[in-house]
Amino acid sequence: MVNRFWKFWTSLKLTVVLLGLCTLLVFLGTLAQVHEGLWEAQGRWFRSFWVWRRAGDVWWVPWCFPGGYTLGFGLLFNLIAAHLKRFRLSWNKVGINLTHLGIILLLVGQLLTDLLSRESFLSFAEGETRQYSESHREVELVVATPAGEASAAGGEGRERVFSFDGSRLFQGAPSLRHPELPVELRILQYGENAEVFSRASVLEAWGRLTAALVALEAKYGSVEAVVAEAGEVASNEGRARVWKEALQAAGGGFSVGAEGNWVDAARQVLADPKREGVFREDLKRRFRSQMLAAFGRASQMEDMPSDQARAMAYVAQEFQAGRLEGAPDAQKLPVLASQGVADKVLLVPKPAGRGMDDRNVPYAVVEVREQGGQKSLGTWLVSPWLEVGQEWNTGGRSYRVALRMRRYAQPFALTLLKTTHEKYQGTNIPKNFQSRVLLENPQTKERREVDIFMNNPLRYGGLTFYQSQMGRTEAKGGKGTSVLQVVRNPGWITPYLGCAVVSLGMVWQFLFHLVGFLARRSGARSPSGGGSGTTAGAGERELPSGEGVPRT
Amino acid sequence: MKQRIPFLVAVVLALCVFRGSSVPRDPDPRGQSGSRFPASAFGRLPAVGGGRIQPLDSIARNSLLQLREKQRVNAEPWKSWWQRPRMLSASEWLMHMFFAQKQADALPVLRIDHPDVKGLLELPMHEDPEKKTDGKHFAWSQIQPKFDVLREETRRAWEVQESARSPYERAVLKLWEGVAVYRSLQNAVQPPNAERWEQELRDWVAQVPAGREAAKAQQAGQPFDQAVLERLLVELQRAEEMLRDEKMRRPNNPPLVVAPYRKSEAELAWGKTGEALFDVARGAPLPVSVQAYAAMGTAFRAGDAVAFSSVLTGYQQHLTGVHAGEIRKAASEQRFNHLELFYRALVLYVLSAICVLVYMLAPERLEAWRASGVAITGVALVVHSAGLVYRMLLEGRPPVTNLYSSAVFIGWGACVLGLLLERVWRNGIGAMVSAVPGFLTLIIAHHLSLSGDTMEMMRAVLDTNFWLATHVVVVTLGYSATFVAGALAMLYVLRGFFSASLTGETAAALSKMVYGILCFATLFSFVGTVLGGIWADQSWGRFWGWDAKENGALMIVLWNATFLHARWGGLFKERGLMALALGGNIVTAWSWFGVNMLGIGLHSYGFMSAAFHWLMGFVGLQLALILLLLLPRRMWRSRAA
Repeated sequence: MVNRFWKFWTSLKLTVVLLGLCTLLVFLGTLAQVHEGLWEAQGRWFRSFWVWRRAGDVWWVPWCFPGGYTLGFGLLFNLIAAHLKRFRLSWNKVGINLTHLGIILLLVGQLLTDLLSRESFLSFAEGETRQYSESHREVELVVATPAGEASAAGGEGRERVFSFDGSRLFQGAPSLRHPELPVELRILQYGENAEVFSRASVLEAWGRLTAALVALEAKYGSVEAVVAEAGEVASNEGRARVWKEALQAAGGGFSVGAEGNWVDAARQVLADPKREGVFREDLKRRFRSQMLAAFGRASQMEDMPSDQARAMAYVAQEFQAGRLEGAPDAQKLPVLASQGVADKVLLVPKPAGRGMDDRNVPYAVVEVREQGGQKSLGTWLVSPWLEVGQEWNTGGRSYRVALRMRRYAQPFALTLLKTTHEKYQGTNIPKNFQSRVLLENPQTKERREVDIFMNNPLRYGGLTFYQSQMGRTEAKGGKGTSVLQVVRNPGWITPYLGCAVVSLGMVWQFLFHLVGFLARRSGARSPSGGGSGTTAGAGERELPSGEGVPRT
Repeated sequence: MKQRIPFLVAVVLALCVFRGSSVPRDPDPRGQSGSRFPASAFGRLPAVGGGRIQPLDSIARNSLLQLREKQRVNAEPWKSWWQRPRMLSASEWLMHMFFAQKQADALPVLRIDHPDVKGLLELPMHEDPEKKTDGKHFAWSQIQPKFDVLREETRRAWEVQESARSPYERAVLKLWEGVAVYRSLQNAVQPPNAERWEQELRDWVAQVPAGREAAKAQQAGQPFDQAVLERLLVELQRAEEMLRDEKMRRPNNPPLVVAPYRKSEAELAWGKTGEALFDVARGAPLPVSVQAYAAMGTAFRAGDAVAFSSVLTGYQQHLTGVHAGEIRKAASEQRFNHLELFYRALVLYVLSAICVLVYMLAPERLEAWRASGVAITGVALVVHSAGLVYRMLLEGRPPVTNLYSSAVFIGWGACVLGLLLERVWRNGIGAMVSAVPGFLTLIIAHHLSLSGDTMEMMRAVLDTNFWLATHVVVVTLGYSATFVAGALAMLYVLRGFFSASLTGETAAALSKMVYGILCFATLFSFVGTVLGGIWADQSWGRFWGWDAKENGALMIVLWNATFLHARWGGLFKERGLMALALGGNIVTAWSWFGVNMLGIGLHSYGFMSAAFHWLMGFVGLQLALILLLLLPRRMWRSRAA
């Protein structure tokens, strides 16, 4: 039994099967990225032991497939076992041994990276200083209070901060407590993603849309108004197209594309009492949907503030779906919480984006209760987008609640001094992104300026800062903003080591064989007079390759 | 004597292939020949396109490649070649586009293949010499009447999701892009159809000071001359139209032909004519470039080649003073364009493949054919290498910077490996696997070049010669080697199944070649992949991010490792190993082209639908060959293998 087990783990057959499966897994995992997004597919296919088919998968997903961890560990055990069994010190095996040692290092290094590395982001505008970076995906719930006498622990600036790990939010923790906090928190609702509007702008957009629809109703309400309209539309290309299509649908003896006086045709239809009603309704319907579509595209208009444009798109979508109608009415917009800014914003849950660049806006509804007591102080709606105006008082102290992207503090501060964003002449191809940053570390008394740009990160204090994105603040004459990717990876050196060792091994092996091969060839050819030039390979020995690894 | 035949053949061919490879000398402007305008000197003028200095010749050629997939204009495409259709060089065509838009609009330079697009625009469907059309190439004057229809269709097609577009919709969008290129070129040096531009420009510049006074007075609320102000504004309106195409509702993107003229700024930048006119209205002097092009336009429209030459010469001398570097760069690139080294190498590869095929019919008797084939491949390799080196010098970059150059380089690598094999085995197989991949990859490169400039600037992330020279070159050599092994396996199956020429000896030789090449491939693809990981760690902070292209490279490494272990373990016999090598073709093609089609990750180049069909065809072929390998031995014509 033990013998068979040992034989299985040391066999070269297993290696070949595992390598073949690895190739297939990488192929499938890459294809899966198209549908599942880079992040999701990575977790499902490469950072897992098994991939199971789920409902809603694309047709090619197999019922079950070994995941990256299974194959990776399989190869690791196979390698180690095989070497334990066959290790022999000899010149012609140095290359193979080195290569495999390097592969082991690479596999272990990748595992370490998976387990230990952490990516976060640091974004700031020119002139701003940051002592922390933020996670892209994880959130934390914090309660902050102005630091009084007890400012020793957990201080963050002039505030005392109690933070609760984001993972507890959706695990349905009954209540979140802290010994020094006079209140406890209960999560009533949590969502991974939502869109946040100001209620005022939604109501305003609603008003605008209603007014426009009323005007439309009036315009196509009576035959006379429509006849008058017919004369004017000819000059407007877009409106004329709608008219032509409606006319075609009404069978007005007119076909799209044919030139001719279509306005007359329209007048004829309008003069016919049997047809004009249907024609007008059809026109109204067409212009209504066009108007809704135009509202939906408001964000593409240049001089529209983005908040208003989003509100217009939202209202148009709700009208289209029939969820909103009639005159603006604040009562019809849901309010999720009783306190704080909940009555100033409208939060609409939406499915979380899975793509690499999707920025989700998580939210939660939190109830604050007195510690141990039954008295509720109210409910708060929290989200990384809503950080101000969420205060209350308990025992004469003011407290603030917020849901924010998880922060990682660093013992030094970075200040963005200047951003540079160059493009090639007359194109939009980026030539250079560069952030000049002031680095201040009170512990080492360092105070120096550094440039961070593409392919030139800042490595400091176990962290590496990479230039990631660049932009400008929205205000006119805005300041440059910069986003740095912050990576902590204690295992970063293993792939370098592994690569060096494997490369060394491979080069050794390759040269060893090449030299041997060429020597033998010239030896084989010289007796026959330097090669007749006709047939080759005659009288040649088998390549010594098979000797590299003993056969099982 | 017999020994020398191949070398003589190679030398003669090389000489033939190099005919007409220098930049033609311009005719004497005072002469009597048909076209007396100095097209070559004009094509040598530097300008900035796509962010880099290039000769007008390159701008014209790349635009033509996009418009009609050729680097020249056939003005009478309905004529067969023996009827001597009128041909225009790229530079001659550009002169028409710049200076005589009406004449240019009558030249059939927009290629449309899709019948529905032709139907949409009411263009003739079929070749008809009597109506002077070939049913494929059309002039702007034929398309313009239906411009509104085209715009509507473009708008609709644009809103369809990229992967869901029908071939018709893609054809519409391609034509639209072509039209944008076309109209941008017509706005490069003067407003289109301005017949008296030089005069108009002179009048306007003379009035600018008065116009500025009037504008200042108007702003200060003082009395001003309405007519003078309006004159200034009307002309600015024209300048604005040169910069933005109101009909197409998008900015024009003409080459930057105006040499840097503002002395005050630290970094001198080339500019568009429209921008320069705005600067003139703000009080800057009229740039020499704008003036020179205006004067060339007058001479060109008047058919006055002598005046044209003298303006051109004067302008060149002016540029030489300040921009000697740019002039040299442009001239050098023009020479490169005319050398067409890759095209010539391609022809030589075909010749070589033919020679070796003949040799393979009767290897015992036709040794001279093999030697000729090898010699021709040698010449082809020299030409190919010269092209690569010239390109590197022009760009100041390592050989592989984009998909186009990767194709050129893969072919080069395959050719080197094939010749090495040939040197060792001397049985024609090595020559075959250098000529065929060399030819195919250069064909692929030609098709990739149709999408525009192949020497485009590198975006910031990729702008590092160190990693381009190490990671990219090594990993591309890995592709090359895997393809060569795949080509050997294809040869094995084709010769074995369809002919009796695959003797046991040849089969064994092929098997050894595949093994040797795949050892090399494993080394290079592994080292290349790892260097890529290190680059990623240096620029993004992660050694491995499971990006689609990274995964593609990893698949090649894994597959090659599978092959090697299967061989070492004796798990597969000769035929099984050949099947694995054919699988290597699939894996490599996927990683080279397939992943770019997914539209995900950092390396994506967008969906390339035409290439997708070819890729599927290639994969299908490999699978078919693998099936042949699985057939029982008695069904093969070469029983011994």
